[in-house]
Amino acid sequence: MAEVSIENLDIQFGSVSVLKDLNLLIEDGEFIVLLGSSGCGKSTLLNAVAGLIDVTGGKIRIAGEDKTDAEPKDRGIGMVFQSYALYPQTTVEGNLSFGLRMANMPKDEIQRRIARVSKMLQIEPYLKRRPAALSGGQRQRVAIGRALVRDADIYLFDEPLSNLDAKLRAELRVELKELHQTIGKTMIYVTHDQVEAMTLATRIAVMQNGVIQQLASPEDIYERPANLFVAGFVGSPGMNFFSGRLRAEAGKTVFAIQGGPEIDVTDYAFAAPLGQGGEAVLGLRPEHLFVEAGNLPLRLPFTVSVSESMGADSVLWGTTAGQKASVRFGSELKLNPPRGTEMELGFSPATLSLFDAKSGVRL
Amino acid sequence: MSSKSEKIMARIGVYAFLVIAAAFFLMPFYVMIVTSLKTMDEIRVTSIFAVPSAPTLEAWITAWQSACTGLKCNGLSVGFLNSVLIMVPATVLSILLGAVTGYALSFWRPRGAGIIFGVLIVAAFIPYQVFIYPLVRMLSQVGLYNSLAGIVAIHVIFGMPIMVLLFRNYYAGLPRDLFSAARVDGGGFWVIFVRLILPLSPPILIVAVILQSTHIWNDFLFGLVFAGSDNQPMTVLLNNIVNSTQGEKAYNVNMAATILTAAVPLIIYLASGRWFVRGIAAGAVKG
Repeated sequence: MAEVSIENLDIQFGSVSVLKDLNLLIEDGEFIVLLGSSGCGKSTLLNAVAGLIDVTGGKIRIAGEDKTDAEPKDRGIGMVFQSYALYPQTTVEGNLSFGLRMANMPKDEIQRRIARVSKMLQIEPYLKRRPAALSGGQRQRVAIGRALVRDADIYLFDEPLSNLDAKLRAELRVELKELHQTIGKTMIYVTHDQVEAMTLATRIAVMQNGVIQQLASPEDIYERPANLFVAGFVGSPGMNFFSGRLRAEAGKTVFAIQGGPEIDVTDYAFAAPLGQGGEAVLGLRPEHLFVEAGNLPLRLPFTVSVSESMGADSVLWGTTAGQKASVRFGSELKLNPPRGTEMELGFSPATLSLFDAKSGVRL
Repeated sequence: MSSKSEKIMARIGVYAFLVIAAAFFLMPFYVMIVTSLKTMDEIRVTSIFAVPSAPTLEAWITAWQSACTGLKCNGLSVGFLNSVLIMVPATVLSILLGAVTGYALSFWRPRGAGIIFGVLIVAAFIPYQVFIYPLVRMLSQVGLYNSLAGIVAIHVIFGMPIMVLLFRNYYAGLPRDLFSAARVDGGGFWVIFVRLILPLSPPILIVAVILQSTHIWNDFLFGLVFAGSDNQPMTVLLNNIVNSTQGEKAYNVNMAATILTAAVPLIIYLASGRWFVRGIAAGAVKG
């Protein structure tokens, strides 16, 4: 019911165009994550949905109604901010009830809502405290509670976990996911943290320069990135890119790595039939390259320069035919090859990605 | 020679400077107080620094009740009341207007907010005297010339630039998300101002009260030009007492009258110095 439809949205600040002709349809109950680095327009988009900034052109529909110029309070939204934005002059209870009191809601209904939400978020012990007397995690819980008491159809999150330390961030991330599963409301979540995006989202919109580069499930974003930007932005360490030439010959399709071996990519699922071939980029995730090649059909040479252990995983950094590459493998392999070691890596054609070298678009 | 003794020397230097500076500013005040407590006979024969031999409050009483301010001889008491009647409404109104304007400029950012703010700042640097004649004409056109409402309006108008600057810069230091959260929570322009922004404003409100009340109390020029003879503030009456020459100059009465006139801002400064410095720093740095 509460789907959000963004149509041909344009936003300009003075002469600077932040969002241009942006379209996005968010289904009821979805958890959409807007992912991108700072300045990509993700927060601008969220603020436009909230009604906190003026739209230059286009429409925003919420639950089918045109809300492009509606006041924030009339959009049926609740919002959580990165800086928590708790009202410092009043208690937690005062923060939760602020909006409800402004809407002249009866006292017993306010009490009922506060009781329900504070129980759900386990903030009952702090109701009489002021925000200044709370820790970061508690403050963000209160901020989430303040959004929830509004009983909105859509919840907006603007980098809500970015001010927390790593451990709390992981805890609250899980709580947010549980919360979404419990209440089942539409959620739009802005972050630059790809782990949050991958774990929370039903769909991710990867943004750059005010344009949605790819809108897909976390699995699709990771396995089948739509272009070089998405491929490089998501994943840590980032995807390996090898430039070279693609050509068709005698019923086979071959990718020749610049200064390196030729790889048979006939089994690759091309988005469109390959014509002449040409300059292209081969993308491979570090964990899809295997130190023990076994019976994998495709091979790459690799020269080790540095080895890093990250606990459960280890990463080897080095070069393939003079181009930078990394390999990720389980630490139980207990591999620590010295600098300069030559090895052969195996991979499967199902895991590779091919991009047009000029446009960056997935082939 | 350790750095410790150097530090002590530096300390002594700092204190010496502070003591001399304090004495420099306190000495005239001391002279005023002792002179106001002497009789004219004693003033004529003793040094100005001499302690009064038989202190008397006669000069103070004269200054308050019966010193001649031109044709009337009712002392400063009338002017005190006028000054209060001018200061209180002018201070309250200019602060409220400044706060609302500063709030609108920093949070609602209407089209042209930057230009409005720029014009206000430029206006703050234009000498007052330039405006006087046109303002006299304008006020007499609307029938406010020579009235209490007229002088209050003048103070409110001339207080706007500094008040808007003060509040805008203070509000620019408040997190914008707070305002956004209140909008999502359903607040309109006035509701957010009254329920969220004003409760966060006491530090800057105190500064504004100090600035405006002392500034308005100390004003002489506007009071003289715009208030009219019935509403002349204390400063104008003080000038009339000191400058009206009939026979000998009553130094003791002049001194007492001056201290009486300066007493209100002096008390405000002394009582609120701590907040004053804090607020000036807050208003100056952020923004």
